[in-house]
Amino acid sequence: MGFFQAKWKYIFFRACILFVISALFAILAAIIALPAYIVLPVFTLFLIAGALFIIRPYLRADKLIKLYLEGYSLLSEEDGVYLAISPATDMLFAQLQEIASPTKLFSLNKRQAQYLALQNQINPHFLYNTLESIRSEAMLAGLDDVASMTEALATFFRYSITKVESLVSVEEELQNCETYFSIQQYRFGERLKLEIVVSPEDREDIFRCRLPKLTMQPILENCIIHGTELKIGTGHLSIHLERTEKRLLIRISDDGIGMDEEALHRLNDKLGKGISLAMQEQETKGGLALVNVDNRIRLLFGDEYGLHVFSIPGSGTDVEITLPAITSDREVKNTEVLQ
Amino acid sequence: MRREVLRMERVSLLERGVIQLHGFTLNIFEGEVVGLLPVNNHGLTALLQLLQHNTPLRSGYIYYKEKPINTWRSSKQRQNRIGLIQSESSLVEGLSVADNIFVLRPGAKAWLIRSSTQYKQLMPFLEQVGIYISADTYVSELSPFEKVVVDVLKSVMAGCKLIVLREIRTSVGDEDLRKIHSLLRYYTDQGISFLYIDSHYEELRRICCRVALMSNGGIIKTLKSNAAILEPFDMISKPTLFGGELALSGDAMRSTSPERNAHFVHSKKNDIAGQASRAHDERGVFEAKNVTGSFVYNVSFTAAPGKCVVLQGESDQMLNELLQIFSGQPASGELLLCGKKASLKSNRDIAIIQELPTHTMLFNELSYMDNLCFSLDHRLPEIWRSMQLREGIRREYASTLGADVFDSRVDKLSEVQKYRLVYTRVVLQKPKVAFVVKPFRRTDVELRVHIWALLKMLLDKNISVVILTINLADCVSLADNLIRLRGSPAANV
Repeated sequence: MGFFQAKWKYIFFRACILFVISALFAILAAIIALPAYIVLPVFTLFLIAGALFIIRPYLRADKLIKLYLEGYSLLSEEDGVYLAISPATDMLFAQLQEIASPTKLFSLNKRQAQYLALQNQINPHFLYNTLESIRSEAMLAGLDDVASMTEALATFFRYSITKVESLVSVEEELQNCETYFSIQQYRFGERLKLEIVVSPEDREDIFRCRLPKLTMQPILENCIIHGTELKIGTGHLSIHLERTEKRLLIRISDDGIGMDEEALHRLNDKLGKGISLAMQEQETKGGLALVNVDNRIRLLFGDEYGLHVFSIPGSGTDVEITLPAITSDREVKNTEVLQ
Repeated sequence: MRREVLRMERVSLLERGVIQLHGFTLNIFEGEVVGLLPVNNHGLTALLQLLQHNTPLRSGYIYYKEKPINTWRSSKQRQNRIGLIQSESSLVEGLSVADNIFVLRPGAKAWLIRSSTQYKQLMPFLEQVGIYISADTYVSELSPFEKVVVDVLKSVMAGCKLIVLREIRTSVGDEDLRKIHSLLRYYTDQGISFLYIDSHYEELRRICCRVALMSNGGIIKTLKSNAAILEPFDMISKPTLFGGELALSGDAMRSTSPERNAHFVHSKKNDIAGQASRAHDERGVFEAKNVTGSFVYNVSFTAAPGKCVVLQGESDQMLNELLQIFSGQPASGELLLCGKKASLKSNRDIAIIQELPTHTMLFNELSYMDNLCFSLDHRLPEIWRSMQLREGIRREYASTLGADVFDSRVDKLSEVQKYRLVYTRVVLQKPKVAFVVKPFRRTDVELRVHIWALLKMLLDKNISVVILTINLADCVSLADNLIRLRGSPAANV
């Protein structure tokens, strides 16, 4: 049976109930000989009521379920109201909330983030390149540089591994990005440049804002590995921060090789698709770091925040992170995931 | 702290089963002019509709002044206070400027309309922007530039914090466009934001601080206006014409990149003097001598075979009058075809490709073949009786137009296929001279490249092409001779 046939079957079923009630009323009206000026308005009322209370809720619930199947989360109270077209659907929604609990999903993501951090530690290329840089610096310049490199590495690991689920200030996150960048710079030298752009008058406000730990660094890493590493010549990275009344906007850009429209759509679809589906897909396909960051943001703050990628081949990639402008952990929408 | 006037967050929109917008993400800050460059027009009309009327979304969120106005969960479908100004004015021609601004604005509640009060209210606004238009002038009497100004004022008075401008370049000249840009800058200082839609990157760079590239219903990249980027345009302007890769000349390929186009135009202008003198040496197929009408004065030019003349007018009235004269309406002056005075009315040696030809020159109720052979009867009188002739044409052009298009309904063809049909019809007509009115109007980047190549095809067939336009972008790279028409005697550049 085709999709439309199935859909209309259910609408037809509900319309039939309405028709039976209307027919009963018509029979009753005929028996007691009600005048037309009463029968017609009552019939019209039946029709309007049918449209408002039977067909419209059904279509709305139908739309929400379809969106859920596409990967959107249906966890708000508002969604519950729309889905409650019968006691059974109400119970189904309650069970769904239990299964797809943000706390459970967040702990899954947390484990992934820890795994990512661990992977970074044991990534042989990352370690070898860094150690090679330390060695060459030690040979050429003396112990001062070795000390600073080692310190940077230690600072980075310390920040990355502990309390991945907690929120940090933008300032702390930027410091971690700079530490990570300084480590990468020992490898790339002058081939890599980082610029952090913040409006001077908003600087303090922005730096006080809170965001999930390891939000910017994995994206910066992505920019280096997939964007500028393959580029001939100097790679320019920039972190642009802006604050509006309600939002914190972070744009991490590179001028690397970029990607074609098809790859861009695939990546953005994965980011916008929702938690459960994206988690299924990331097992097999790339973009783990971006999906992980996007998932954590959406679980903490809601579907209206997250990541979006812009890119064209040869002109670099921009990753835009949209977050709520909050300065305290208590303002987080879903606080239980932080515990 | 900056304020966001508009934020569209991963917006997807489905219309009649077709995805019009896909993950569309764009934000506009207060007092900012953001450019929108449609690589292809897919989803552009739906976007404008969505901005104004809040049509239901498939997914995503839209915020206006940081408040959600439309989300995938619920859509109230209320009208937004977002102004939309297009090349065709939305003003009511039969009403005065003041009536259009005050009476027709959304939210006007006055029962009694006092003209004197309206004029008093309007004057300070006009004085602020330094443009003087009489409040009681009928809109039909205004120039295209004045109409744009009144449209902007109307949106401002209606309390719109965001105004969308679409392709206004096509209806006003360069000088007026500069004035409009000053007007926009004045209002950005007042905190009003603009979304400026145009298919020319160079044009957008002149006024916008950021330019968003839109392709297949999504924003693929946002560029800073000072970004010296060439590659994306090379990428998006890969021309595939007539089923295969189009063999454009080196010059043509250069001109497809707007950044390079500027350079190319510059060098082309330098060559114009030399080319113009060469053109004078050749005997022209079409000559206009001292043609004068109500809006044009003393226009003289010669169109030689395989050469392109661009006539830049100041207004649509000027172009319409010229077109009427060239299509046979008498005027003072002399029009010569192949050195002789000839009747230009219904003359098959003259072809006219009108503005928006896919809307004005195709007959949806006729078949593709009938549309193609429409003006061929003077060359092949048997064309409508002989099936063999039509089959021959089909076989000949199947390789270039595509074999499947002949069996398609005309209204189901893509925009590129429709343009090919119109221009190929002209090639079949084999005129001596083709007048083309605003060929690049309402076109996206991809379509521009195709039209450019189709015009080049006419020139390669030794047809003389006369382009009538207001804005010179794109046309200059084709021009062998450029004539700027003014109310005073024409100045040949």
